[in-house]
Amino acid sequence: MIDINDLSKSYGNKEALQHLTLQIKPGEIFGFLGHNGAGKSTTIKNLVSIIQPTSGSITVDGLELSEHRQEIKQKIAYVPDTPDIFLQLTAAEYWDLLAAAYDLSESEVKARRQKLVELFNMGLHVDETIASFSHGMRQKTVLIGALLSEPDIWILDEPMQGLDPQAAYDLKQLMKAHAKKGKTVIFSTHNLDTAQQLCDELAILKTGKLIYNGSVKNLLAQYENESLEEIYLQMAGRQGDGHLVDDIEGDINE
Amino acid sequence: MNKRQLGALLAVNLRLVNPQATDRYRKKGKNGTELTNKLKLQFLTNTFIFLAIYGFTMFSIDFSKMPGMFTFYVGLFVLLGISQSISGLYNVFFAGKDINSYLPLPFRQNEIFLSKVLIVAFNVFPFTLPLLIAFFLTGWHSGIMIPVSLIMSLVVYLFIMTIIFMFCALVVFSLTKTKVFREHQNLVMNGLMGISMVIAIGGIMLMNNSNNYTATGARYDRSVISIFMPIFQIFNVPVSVNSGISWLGLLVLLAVFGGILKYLIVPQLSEQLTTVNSASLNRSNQRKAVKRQGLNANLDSYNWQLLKEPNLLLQVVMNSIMIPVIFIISFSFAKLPSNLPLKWIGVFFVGGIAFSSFTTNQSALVSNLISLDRANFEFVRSLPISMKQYLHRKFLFGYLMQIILNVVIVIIMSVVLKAGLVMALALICGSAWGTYLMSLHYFSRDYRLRLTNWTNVTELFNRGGGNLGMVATMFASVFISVIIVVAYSMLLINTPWAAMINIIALAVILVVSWLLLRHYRVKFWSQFD
Ligand SMILES: Nc1ncnc2c1ncn2[C@@H]1O[C@H](COP(=O)(O)OP(=O)(O)OP(=O)(O)O)[C@@H](O)[C@H]1O
Ligand SMILES: [Mg+2]
Repeated sequence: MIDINDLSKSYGNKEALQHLTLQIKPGEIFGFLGHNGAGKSTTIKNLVSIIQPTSGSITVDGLELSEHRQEIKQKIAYVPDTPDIFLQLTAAEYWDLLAAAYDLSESEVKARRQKLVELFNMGLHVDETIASFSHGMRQKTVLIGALLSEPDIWILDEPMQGLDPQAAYDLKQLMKAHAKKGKTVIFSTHNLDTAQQLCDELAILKTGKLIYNGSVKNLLAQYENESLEEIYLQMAGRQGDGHLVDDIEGDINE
Repeated sequence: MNKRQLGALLAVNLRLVNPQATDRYRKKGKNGTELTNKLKLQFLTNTFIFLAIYGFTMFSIDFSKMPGMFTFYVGLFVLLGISQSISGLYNVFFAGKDINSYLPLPFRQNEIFLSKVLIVAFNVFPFTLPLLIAFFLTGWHSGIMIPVSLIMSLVVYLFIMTIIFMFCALVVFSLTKTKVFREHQNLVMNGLMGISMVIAIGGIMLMNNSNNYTATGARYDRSVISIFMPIFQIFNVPVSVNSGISWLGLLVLLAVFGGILKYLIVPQLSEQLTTVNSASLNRSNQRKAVKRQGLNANLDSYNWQLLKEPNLLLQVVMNSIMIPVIFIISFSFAKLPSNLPLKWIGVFFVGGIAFSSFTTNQSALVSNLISLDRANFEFVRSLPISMKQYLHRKFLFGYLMQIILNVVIVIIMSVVLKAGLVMALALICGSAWGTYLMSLHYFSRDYRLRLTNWTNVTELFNRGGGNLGMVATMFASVFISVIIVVAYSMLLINTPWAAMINIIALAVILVVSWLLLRHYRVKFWSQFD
């Protein structure tokens, strides 16, 4: 159980996140939605100890995050919003690093890693440097790293980006299976179909503020005959002028 | 502490600080543990080569009879070690882009701390090894058996280096805790490194000037720097009360610094790193939009922004001024007579060229400007601008920065040495021309070895031969320059054909310059049309 309590984060005088209060229960897939810059990654980075909140607190299974980072990190697997990390390592070396970080035994890791590598079709690239990978391959490498250990909580920041349809499908299945085991899956996405398919609970952020938190079912029930996309667009709203799309297109067509 | 985690972290960091060697081994199909072992082995081999080079240069100095000289060396390299460690520590903990990737992982704080400090140590060791040699030579000349002297010097060297690292870690970590730092991160850090550099250079100048060469016995020696005398006594009179007290002093220092680090700094490490992380990018990410006319003006402004890479400028200044200056001071013994006749003008010109070859090295700005672009460089290729113009502008920018640096130092040197106006001008012109040629060399080298995905400027500086390459190149250029300048001077003094010799020298310079210019035009610039 993750409890986010009155969490705020500002960068200088820019408030990236304002008074966020949320609960995320085990066994559920929890999705963050919101426009670019809404504060999804900021929330996630607070959860995984990359940044510290300006105010507010986070507890995981009753433990205060700021006081039990070590223990809590051990329970979390994280996929960052950009997969461009540890570029100088080969994929295998990166996974070894993660296995060491989570202190997984060799035998334990080996079988699981083999399966994941096969699933994501990375077999030919294990000994190549991440720097030489395409965007999607980097994403897969980071994903495999996160899935190597089986911690209670998965926190995935836009995990589908760059994945081919097959890999994206497989990942969704894995996420569902993980939640079914009673564990927690938190992710952010811009893909509303994915969100509708996967999420039990949703949080929609708009310029740092929470504008919806609840189950997908309830949301869909509130607005009859509308897809999540239509509902989302109404709620999150347009910040610019909609006619501009026609304007720009018009310019191009002239 | 978990050995496996520490090992894994070290393995990653070893690759980060040795990008070129890593690449080379990877091409031979090495990876994983095998690669790590190769890199470790290479570090050891490098250390031995360094030891051999320094040992060879210092072999003839009998420190046991020259406590002044001994303390001078110790002072010099301790100062160098301190300023290198401060910038190194700041670099790996607060300026590196990779620390964010470690933070979400369940590594323990002391493992991250230790692995990063060890990496700084790897980078600082090669520059401070002369200490080890000085210790050993002193012990040996004072009559300690070679193996004992070897072990003693190794232990004392490691103690001193550890004390230096702990001291610097204290400075860096306490400073980064302050509120001032959080609000003006770059300013404070540049200030600190500036100060540490000024202290280091000032200290060196001071030590160098206070050498009233007191006569002790039959020898001439520098005046003693008393705080380093205890170390001398450890090796000079190993079995004595004084030596015992010195050992005790070292142990106490180790314990005190170690205790402070262990109980006050390390437990809060990740809190501190995340705090710094969260505070960063406060101010510097907003800029007023200024209308600039033309591509060149825009390119200049872009190149100027590249210099804001944290920690870059000071590292550059340090590596391209301080280390060369220290090397020149400690390994060359030239003295300048005053009131030289005009025929010496050529020697000064050549001296200027030689000087610029020490300061324009692989960690100069112009040697890294292309790599500073990171992925932008590839992107620029896709834009409809001429690559030649892009690189030309970049080169010009780098050359200008470098020449400003060099000319300032040369002017200071001319004033200090009272070189006289004409000679000073010759020196300045020489260094301007030398800088141009060296800049061409290093600029094209940067292109050849360009890295677009580095996480840390040290990685850039370590391209090519790494640390070893840098020191070796510096030694070689000091050595060759000294030979050329001395030979040139000898010819001027000992033969009556001064004018003739100067003309020949001029011709040689012209021909060599022309060949170099043509080389870079054909081999480098002509690729971009
Ligand atoms: N390091 C930083 N320094 C300053 N401002 C930042 C920093 N990181 C994020 N911000 C700001 O915080 C706000 C929220 O950013 P965040 O990355 O959380 O958005 P997001 O919802 O993940 O967007 P996206 O969908 O584009 O990933 C933005 O306004 C952004 O400009
Ligand atoms: Mg994001």
